[in-house]
This record gives sequence, structure tokens and C-alpha cells, in this order.
Amino acid sequence: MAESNWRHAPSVPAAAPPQRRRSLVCLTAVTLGVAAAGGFASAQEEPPPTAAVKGEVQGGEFLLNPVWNEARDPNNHRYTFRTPSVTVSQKAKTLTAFLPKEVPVVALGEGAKASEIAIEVQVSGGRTTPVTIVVPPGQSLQFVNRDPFPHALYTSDTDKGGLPAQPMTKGASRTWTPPGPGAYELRDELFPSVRSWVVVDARAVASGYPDLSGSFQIDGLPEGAYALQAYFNGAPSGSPVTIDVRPFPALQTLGAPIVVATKEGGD
Amino acid sequence: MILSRFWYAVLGAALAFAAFLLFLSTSVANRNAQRTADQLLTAASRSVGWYLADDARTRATALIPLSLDPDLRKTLAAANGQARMKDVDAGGRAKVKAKLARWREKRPSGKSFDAVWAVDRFGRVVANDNFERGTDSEYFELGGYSVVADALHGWIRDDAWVLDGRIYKVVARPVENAVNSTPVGAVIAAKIVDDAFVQSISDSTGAAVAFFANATRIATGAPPDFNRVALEVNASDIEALSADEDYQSKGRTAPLVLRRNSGFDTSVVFARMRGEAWDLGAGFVVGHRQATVSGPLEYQRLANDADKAAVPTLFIVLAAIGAVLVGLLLSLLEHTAPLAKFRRAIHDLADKRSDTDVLKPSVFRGTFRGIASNVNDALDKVAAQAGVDRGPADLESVLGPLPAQPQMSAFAVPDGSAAGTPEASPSKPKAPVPKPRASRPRRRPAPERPSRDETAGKAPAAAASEDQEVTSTDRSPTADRAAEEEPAPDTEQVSTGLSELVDPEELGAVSDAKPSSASPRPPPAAPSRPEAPAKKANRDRENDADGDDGGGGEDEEREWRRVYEEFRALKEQLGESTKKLTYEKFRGTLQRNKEALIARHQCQRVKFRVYEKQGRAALKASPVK
Repeated sequence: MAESNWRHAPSVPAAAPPQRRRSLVCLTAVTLGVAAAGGFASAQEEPPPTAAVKGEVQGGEFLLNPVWNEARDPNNHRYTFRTPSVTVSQKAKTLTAFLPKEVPVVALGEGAKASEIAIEVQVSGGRTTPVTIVVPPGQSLQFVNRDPFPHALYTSDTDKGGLPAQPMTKGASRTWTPPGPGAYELRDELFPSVRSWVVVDARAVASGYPDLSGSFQIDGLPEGAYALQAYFNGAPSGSPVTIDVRPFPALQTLGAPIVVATKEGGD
Repeated sequence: MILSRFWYAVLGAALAFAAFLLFLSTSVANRNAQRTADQLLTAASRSVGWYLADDARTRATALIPLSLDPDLRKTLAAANGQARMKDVDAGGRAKVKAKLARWREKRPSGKSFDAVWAVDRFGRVVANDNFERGTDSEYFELGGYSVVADALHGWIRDDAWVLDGRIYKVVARPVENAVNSTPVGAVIAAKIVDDAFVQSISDSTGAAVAFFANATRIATGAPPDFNRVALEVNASDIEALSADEDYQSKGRTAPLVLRRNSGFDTSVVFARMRGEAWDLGAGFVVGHRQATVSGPLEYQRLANDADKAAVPTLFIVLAAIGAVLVGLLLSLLEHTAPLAKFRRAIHDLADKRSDTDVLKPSVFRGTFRGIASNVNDALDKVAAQAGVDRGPADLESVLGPLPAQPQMSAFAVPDGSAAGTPEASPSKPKAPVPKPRASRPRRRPAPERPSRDETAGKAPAAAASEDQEVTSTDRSPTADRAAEEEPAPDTEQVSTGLSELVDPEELGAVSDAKPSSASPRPPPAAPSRPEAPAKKANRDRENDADGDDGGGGEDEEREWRRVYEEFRALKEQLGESTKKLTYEKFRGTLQRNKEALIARHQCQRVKFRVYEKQGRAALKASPVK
């Protein structure tokens, strides 16, 4: 039985108290089936010691959600009127990326292996959760429809092993394994706002998602050297930050923030 | 019959033109009606679009009280600090749900909502009303929709979703817990586009409108007199829109005919709905039922009482009656009246008690004139077969005994002395005529007539007999007939022209002296142009009559030319034909008659005068001692 050390730890609610953040991360990871380490750890072999890395991303306010910003363009006919609320701060009106779902921080290193358990991707509310996911080759994804109406996810390159469009009723799920390394953009025939990315990278060992303030944590990293890289819209965003993970302590802090973007934009 | 035929042509042309106008008006009416319908459709489609935009703003405004609700703001703010929705205070969520329900129920009719949600800043649904399907899931959220994301970023806007085959008109606005800060959440409300909603649009805009999604009509609203089925759209209709450039780029098609039916077309304008529905093929179609006219007879079916009342019936009836009357008048003038006249003439001819034994072609017109001539010829032929010579009447037989004193024209010279001469016999009637009858000079066929030279070479008696024949007193029938036919260039032809001039009653007494018609004719004067018109001729004639007895020293040749000019002018003035009248012929006749009168009356000269009698030009010859 092949061992998998793929770790995926998405979304942390933004305003959650710091002391509860770790538990939330773990809970969420379990919920998404990504951090089911017990599921793919061999019962006969002693699992290698792992540690967690926490850090911070900066410049997230410069990442603009492509779907929302396209929708605000009047030429795209997405509304009959759109007016600002005068009592909301101007900064808040920028349609920035939703970090907990759109900007994973991926630990790139040696020994990345796919989990035998499919990573669950929720489909609800006009998007998927997560929106961008980075996985090693051979990693299966299970899309679960959490909406009370059908979805039909697909990728454009269906002839190369992409995801063909098929209706997915309420509560139904589909499992798909990306055919190889690369970036795959997911769309939904029934919901134009759904636009997600699956990045297949052989070096993707584990990942974590920052909260609204930019703090993130990656769990289950074996000892070794890693480059922490943020991804956005299916592509690396910003420069990676390297870290040597030691077996101890269990929670290691990244010395410098990960700058995901520096260019201003938005409204 | 020329006018009648012309009238038939006019009526036919008028009928064809009327038919042309009818078909033209059919096409024009259809085109104009279609153009008007197109304009109405475009306006109606825009009106529906404006209605939807206005409705969205109104509905967004209706969310203000909800977004300011303290319990809602507090609950949303609390939810933002919880990782899982089940950790959010259930009491607070229930309170918010109740408020949502209460708010929704208070919506006025026509501005109601079918669902309302309250979401935290993550897009998670904290509470909702009337949308319970699957919302108990931990993962159910709305944060991915751009309208929700906009609201969570401080924007107020609308959207149109297509969920499970239904169109949702959605509005959202932020929920703020503090001024100049980030919203704690948003409230979103949706209205399902159903028949009631669309009917309210139709009631407000007057348009027949249907909304479609997934290539299926899902809701329709129309005025009472509009058949909603006419707005049924199918997959092929929607598929065709993919090739419509206006629809793809501008979101609205030009007016187009959706269905063609007998007597009417259904014209429509497709429009895309703004929002996510724009990319999902959802939209609305505004229709108009346009009556069409397939042909002129269709007007009768389409016309109502007002249309019929607008027709100028009196004018049309009067025009028709006028056309009929004109036709009747023309047929009366050209058919009935001439026929009746001819019938009377024939009846008179056939009447045994009548002296008429010949028709007068000149009194008839057109075909009847030819028929009259043919009838006369037929009578001659029958008479000849019966042994009766209906040959040319001599002057005596026509006029009776001539007076002794010369007072008549020289053109009817009943040559008594020549009666026994062999030369006069060919034209003299063999059977004595007891009384003057309406002479019917028989006209010999041209090929049998002697030529002019032959005539000149004959004995004077024979020539005289020719004159008698052609100058017989009845000027009309034979002369007219001869005038119609192509005369031979001989003496008879000349006399035929002059015979029209002769009025036997005006002739003076002519002696029985045989006219020396055999005398050589003086050489004809050189042709000259008529020197004076008819008026001048008349004035000269009067001068001659008043003073000079004949011109005295005036050269005879010049006088005759003057007489010829006067005669010709008078004929033209009276509308008679002068085509066959030449001076040479005229002069020859004057010469022959002059010689006859001189021989008869031993006068020195003969004076000719032109005058009008019964509407025709005539000559009078007077011997001058």
C-alpha cells in the first residue's frame, strides 16, 4: 500500500480567535478529507514525524477575483444597476480574492504522493470550495454538489482527460483524477460564476489556506526543505519562501511573510 | 365606334390600374403594418427592460429596512467569528429568520419576494426564508455569486439567476455594523419570474411578453386579447438566436417573424436578461400579433364597420354610374343612333310607297357609309340582272324639263340635242324616267372607264354624256361613294369632284345646244400656289358680283384659277375633302361646260361663281351675252 503524505488544509474563518485557529484548521482539513492522515498512514509502519508550519501572506488585497471583477464590467451585462453603499469604506469595495478559498499556500518539496482518498471539493453558492487547489499527480478529486439544484462541472480539455460536463444533482458527487501535471480550469455549464482551478504539481506535498487576515498553517509536513508558494487562479502568485522543516517543534513559524501580490488593482 | 372602343380601353386600363393599386396597397399595407409593429415591438421590448431595471431598484430599496435591522446585524457579526455554522447562536439565527419572514410577508402585492437570505461575510447563509431546500447543509452558501460578493464588498446591485430551470430576479445589499467599515454580511432577496410577475410586467407595459430559460418558455404575461400560445418558443427558436448578431452583442434582436399563420404573423423581439441569465440563454420575448393581408379580397375580412364607413361609397357609386353613362352615351352615339338612321334609310328604301331607290352613303358615317354603297351596288347588280338599267341618270331625268333661259350652272347639261347622238347613248338612261327622281348615278368600275385621253378623244356628245353623268343633280351618294373609293384619273373622276359642286336648282336655263366638249382643252396653266385664303376669295367673288360682269379684261385663265382657289378654299372651309381636287381637272370641266353653254346660248363667255349650298361648296355658271 502506497503511502501518501498529501496534506490539504483549507479555510479558516477570518475572525476566529487565534487560540482556536489550529483546531479549526485541523477540523476543516478532516472535513474536506484532505488531512485524513490516519486514512493513508500505514498501520504497520510508523509514520514519519511531521510538523506544522504557520505563516502569513501579504498582498492579498491586490489579488482580484476574476469572476467578480468581470461581472462588475457593464459590458458583460451582469446587472441592471450597481451602486455603492456610501457608508462602506472605499477599501472594502475592492473585489479582492477570497483568501480562505482562492489562495492556497503550497509546500513544494520532495516526496509528494497522492492520497488514495479523494479530496472532496464542495460545490455550492456559485463557486467551489476551494476555488484553487494544488495536488500531486494521480490525486483524485471528488466534487460534491451541496446546492439544492444541479451543477454541471467541466474542464475545457476533455479530450486530454479533462472533466466532461455532466449534470450533478443535489447531493450527488463526481470523482475525477487530473490526467497529469498542469493547470485545469473548472467551469459550470449552469453557473457562470463557478470558475475554479486544479493545479497538478509533482512537488505539492501539502497546502494550507489563509484566513481573511492572511494567516495560514500547513500541517503534516515531514522533515525536509520546502518552498512555500502561493497560488491564485491556477498559477503561482508571488515569490516562494523556503523553509527547512524539522521534526520538532510541532509548530514551526515561517520567518518571513509570503508576498502573494504587490500590484494594486480593484475598484 | 372609335370612342366606344376607346372607352372600353379606358375602362380596361382603369380596371387593371385599380387591380394594380389593390395589390400594391396590399403590399404597402403589410409593409407599413409590419414596420409599425416592429417599432412597437422594439419599444415594448425596451419598456420591459426598463421595467425590470426599475423593478430591481425598487426591490433593492425594499431591502433597506432589513439591512438596518439590529438583530440581523448582530447575528451576522457573531457568525463571522464562527468557523462552523452550527456554532453560531441558534437563537439569533431563528430570530433573524423570523424577521426575514415577517419582512417578506409585508411586501406589497406586486413587489413581493419568493425568498430572502441573510449571509455573513463568508457568504454562508445564516438565515433564510422560504428557501429551505438543502439550506441546512453546513456548506450551503451564496458567496460565490457576484451579486452576493458585491454586496459583501459594499455594493448594491441586482442579478438574474437561473436555478433549476427557473429565473430568479435577485437583489442584494450590504449589512453594515459600523460606518465606513467592511460589511458584516448581506441580505439577498429573490423573486421568481412566474406568470404573475410577468403579467404585472404586461399590465404595466402593455406588452405581450414571455420569459424563457433552458430553451423553454417558463412564464408569460399578455393583454387579454393576445393568445399566449403565440409566444411559445422552442429549442430551435433559441438555437437560431446564437446566429443573431444583434442578440449576441446587444442582447436584443431586431423584430423578426416568429410564426406565420393564415391571416396574421407573430412578430417578436428576443432580449437577453441581464445578470447570470445573460450567459445562460435566459431572456424574454416580446410579441405582437400582426394581421396580414394576403390579397385584396382579404380587406373585406379584416375591415370593420369603421373601415367600411370610411369608404367614399357615394363617390364610387357615382363614378361607376358615370362610367356606365359614358359608355351608354358613346354606344348610343356610335352604335344605336347610326344603326337607327341606317335602319330608317333601309326602311325607306324598302318602302314601296317611297320614291327612294338608293341610299345616300354620305349621310352615314363609318361602316354604314360603306354598307350603303354596297347596298346601292347590290341594287344595281340586281336591277341589271333583271334587265333594268339603273345607269347614270341624265340631268333631265333628274331635274325634269330644263328651262329655256340660261340660268343654271353649266355642270348639269342635259344635252337634248345629244340625246339622239350615238355618242350620248352609253350614259343615257334607256328607260325614260317619268319624273325627277333622286338620281343614282351609277359609278362604273374604274378599270372599265375610258382613260382621260380616251375621253378627250371621244365625240363631243360622248364627252357631254360623261359630264351629264358626273354632274347629275344628286350630289351625294355616288359622289361620296366615289370620294371614298380611289377614283380613276379620268374625266369622271374630275367631274365627280365637281359634281359635288353642282346644284341643279341653281342652274340657269341651258340651251339644247350641244356643248362642244370635244373642243381641245386649253393648256393648263402652270400650277401656282393659291393666292388667297377663302376669305380673300369670297371678297373677290363679291367684288366680281358687284361690279365687273365677269372680269371684262380679266384673263379667263386667271379667273378660272381664282374660281378654283375660291372653290377649294370654300371646300376646305366647309370641311370637305380636297385631296383629289386638282386645277387641271377643275379647269377641264369648266372648259367643257363653258363650251356647252356658249354653244347653247350663243353667249360670249361664261362666268363661274362659287357659293355654299346646304353646307357644301357649289358652283354657279352664268352665260354672259
